[in-house]
Amino acid sequence: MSLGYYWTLWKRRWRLPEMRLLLIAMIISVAVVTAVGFFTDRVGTAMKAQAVELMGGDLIVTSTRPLNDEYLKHAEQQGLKTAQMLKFSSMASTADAMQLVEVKAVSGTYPLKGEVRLAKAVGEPYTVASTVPKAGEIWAEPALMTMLDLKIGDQVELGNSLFTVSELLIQEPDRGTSFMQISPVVLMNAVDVPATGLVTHASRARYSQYYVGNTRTIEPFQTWLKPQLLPLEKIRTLDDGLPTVQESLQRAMRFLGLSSLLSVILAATAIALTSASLVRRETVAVAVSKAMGQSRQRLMREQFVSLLMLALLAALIGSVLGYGLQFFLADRLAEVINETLPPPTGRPIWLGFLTAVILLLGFALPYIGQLLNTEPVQILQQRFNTLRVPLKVWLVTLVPALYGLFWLQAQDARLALWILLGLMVGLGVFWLAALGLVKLVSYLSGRFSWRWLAVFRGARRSVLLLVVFATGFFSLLLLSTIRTDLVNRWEESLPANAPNQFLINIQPQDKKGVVEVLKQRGMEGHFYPMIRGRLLEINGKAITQEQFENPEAKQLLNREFNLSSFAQLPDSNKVLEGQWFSSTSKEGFSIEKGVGKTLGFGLGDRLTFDIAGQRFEQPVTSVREVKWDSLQPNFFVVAAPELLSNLPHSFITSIYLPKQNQNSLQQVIKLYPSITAIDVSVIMEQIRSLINRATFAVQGIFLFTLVAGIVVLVAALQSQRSERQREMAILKSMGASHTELKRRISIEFIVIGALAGVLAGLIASTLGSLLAFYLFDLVGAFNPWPPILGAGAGAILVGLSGFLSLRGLLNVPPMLLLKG
Amino acid sequence: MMKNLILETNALTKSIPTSDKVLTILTGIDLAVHSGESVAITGTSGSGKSTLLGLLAALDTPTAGSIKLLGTEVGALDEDQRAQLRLGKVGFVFQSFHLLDNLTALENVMLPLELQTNDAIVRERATKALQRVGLGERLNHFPPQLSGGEQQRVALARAFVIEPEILFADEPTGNLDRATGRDVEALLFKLVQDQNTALIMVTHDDELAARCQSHYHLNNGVLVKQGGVA
Repeated sequence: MSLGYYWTLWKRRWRLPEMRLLLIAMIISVAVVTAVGFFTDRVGTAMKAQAVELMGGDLIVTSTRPLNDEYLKHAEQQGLKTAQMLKFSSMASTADAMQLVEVKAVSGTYPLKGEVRLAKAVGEPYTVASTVPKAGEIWAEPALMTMLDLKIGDQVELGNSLFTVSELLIQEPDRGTSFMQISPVVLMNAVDVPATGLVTHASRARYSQYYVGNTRTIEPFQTWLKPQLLPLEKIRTLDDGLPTVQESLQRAMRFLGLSSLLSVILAATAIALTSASLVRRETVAVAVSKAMGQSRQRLMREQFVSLLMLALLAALIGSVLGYGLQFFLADRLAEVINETLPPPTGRPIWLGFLTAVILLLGFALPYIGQLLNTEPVQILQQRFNTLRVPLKVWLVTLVPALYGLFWLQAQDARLALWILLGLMVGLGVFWLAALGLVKLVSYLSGRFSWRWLAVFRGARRSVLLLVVFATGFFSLLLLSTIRTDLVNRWEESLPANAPNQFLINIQPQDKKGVVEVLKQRGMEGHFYPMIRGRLLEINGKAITQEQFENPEAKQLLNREFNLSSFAQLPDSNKVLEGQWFSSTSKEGFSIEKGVGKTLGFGLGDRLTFDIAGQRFEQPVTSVREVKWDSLQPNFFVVAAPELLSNLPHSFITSIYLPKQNQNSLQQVIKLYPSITAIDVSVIMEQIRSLINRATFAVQGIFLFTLVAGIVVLVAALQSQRSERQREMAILKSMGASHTELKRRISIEFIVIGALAGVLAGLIASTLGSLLAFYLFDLVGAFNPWPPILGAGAGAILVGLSGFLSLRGLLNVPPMLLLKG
Repeated sequence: MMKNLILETNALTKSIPTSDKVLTILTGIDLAVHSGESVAITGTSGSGKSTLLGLLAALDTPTAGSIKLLGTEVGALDEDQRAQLRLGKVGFVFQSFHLLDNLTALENVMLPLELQTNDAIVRERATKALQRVGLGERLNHFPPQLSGGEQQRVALARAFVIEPEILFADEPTGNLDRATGRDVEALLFKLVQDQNTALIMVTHDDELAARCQSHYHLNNGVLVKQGGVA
């Protein structure tokens, strides 16, 4: 059959009002999905870009040996931008003093991402560097200036060369990656390195190549690069680069994904409602066609093509609308963050199209199956109201369709499965609860002759509305509950006076003095001992890097662990398994769950560390979960309080240093020169900015879900419009006045809205607590407000929408009944 | 005993403006119906039977002329006032039954009573009305679960439960097979007689029309009395 034939059929079907309603519902759902898609895509790209800025590039190759220049050449041929850095430690000296510094010698193209911030004095506004230091000049961190008593323009000796300090180095992009930097940083031009004579084959230096490109160029380059790498050469990308930022980023992404899913559920509800009534109407046409000799196969083809055309049309219009809508949101966001978002990718268009197809096939197929089973004899028996889809048919179509939709949005098979299970259980609960409530109301109205509740006699219709509204409210309430929880949690995790400076290398004999000096200057922090140790054995078996595939595991074994030993569990730590130490414990290690997972040990395993030349073999007595973004000192391995007390150790602490007090820290360091201060305020500001963006995005998506909810509400009412129109005409013929009809509509929808609100609120609160706990790692208590607010908001919203939507029907002429 | 005049029309005319001209559907209709009287109106399709029925039942208003239903001039009333006039006094039986599918048979019959009263006896009266039409065993069935004949019986119970002064029937057996149609017909006349209800029935069925005390034929918008005396 030709396309023209299908087109003709489609045009005929188009006359059905349900077909138009279906298209509208689909367009809106595709628009929501694509708008959310485009928007999250853009926000996601922006967030990633910011994280990449912190790292300094999309991909970094590092090694302790000089890197192959071929990598750079190949990358440049593929259109990638490159830069190089050589990092090594050296003594910087003046006539009076010397200090160990970390030298970063950079190529002319540095930095590829992010910015180098410079200032002429501490506390002054920074400027962004447009070049790298000139030959013969260095940019030095303020700490070094204090330590060596330098000012801008002074000279410093590094190896065989003399350099002029031309700028204060406030921040460089990749600082976030080496969180535990010991010495102040000095930035110099790579061309000066040979003359200093500091880097020889025997030197401990770290060579880095930075690469920047887009997904189309970076991914193939990474694939090409991997097999070329020598054993010491390692690749780092955003995925394994930044635990601190990454955790916030992941949480935000997960939330955006979840928000989109709620819109999808709402959209699906609208589609289901409309397709059910469309197919119900089609039954007569199918019975007639069959009676006239049409084959089942041909009917199936016609239905299928017709739906596909509808999906295409909806996808097209919806995507265009979605694209337009996201601009509005992105503009608002741009105003808030004072930055323009990167352009969206084309992925959401596919997402929109696939969503439309899945929605139609998943939600209309079960009905079509039944529709095709319509017997021609039904036309003679006038038996068309019995269209019921068996549960097993629903299970084989709807379930995969929903799973597909969730997977499309979440891009995470497990999460999609959980959400599907949650939704199915949820719908079951909603349905049963709604049925119970409506039966109860109906019973009460009969038992006590409450005429005002008589409208609930139509139990089935009310149950449907109740489930639909409750689902819609549930989505909104869940989203707002989690959103509020998340935002609060983020704010709590980063209070205004969160630590912004780490002080390390505090010698035991200095500790008391440091505490005192800090206190005098209004600064406080908890001091943790820090002991360096190398992991030798697990359960008596020696472990080496070669035993592990995972680069993270290799990296962990490549360096010494920072162990600590204390009795009081910090707030940012939670014991998951085993028992935390008592103050007199002499035995055992407590491990962070991630490190245990990476290296394959857990509760009860025996670990052997080499600490200052001594072997320490102890069992793992507890497993902890650590909130790395707490900006408190945290440790992979903590030993029993008494176990390491006699070993050489230093202390670490984190403090909050107000901006105006910058000098007081320099004074402390002057008094105790062994201390190294690490400024994390820049990283924190980056995190704060990320969180602000994420919060805004979440609010934007919340608005979308709200719109989707209203669409479902309208679709639900619309699907009952003709039935209600007839009902009003009948009531009018019996003598019901406008006031009476208005009263009936208002009571029905206010009660349904209130019931739906309570139901949704109860379930959202329960599930919100569970989700917050399992997905986002937040401890949430049951919130009693959603059911209360839900009842009020539901009564108002549904009451008003029901009234507004059905108001037009009040003018239905009862003559309609006589003229069919 | 002089019977009460329930319905009276005088030079009733209904016209509908179309895009290019005014279409006159009914012209100069005079009709008087007394309590307990049964009147049949026949006519070809499109002759304006339904329009006339709608006017007589105060569902619509005439373009010219007057209608007095239950002693009240309908032409001057707005929609709500006309509804008030029908409330509890006027019954309807439609060709397509027009039961509410989402209500049980009992609830459908309770509906017109609930519009008038809050009494606990609503359920009892509705139950009795259904028993009277032979559906005492099917109170809690939904319309789609009932046969056409049964549905029309529910509609009869719904119409008679308020003990109307006048009943308007629009092709009451039009959607039923002959045998069922005759059953429903018999029931209808029995109820009309028992309750002394005036009946105005639009029908195609001459046999059915013949059972009424008066029979009018609508031809080109003009009502002509058939046979007997006016």
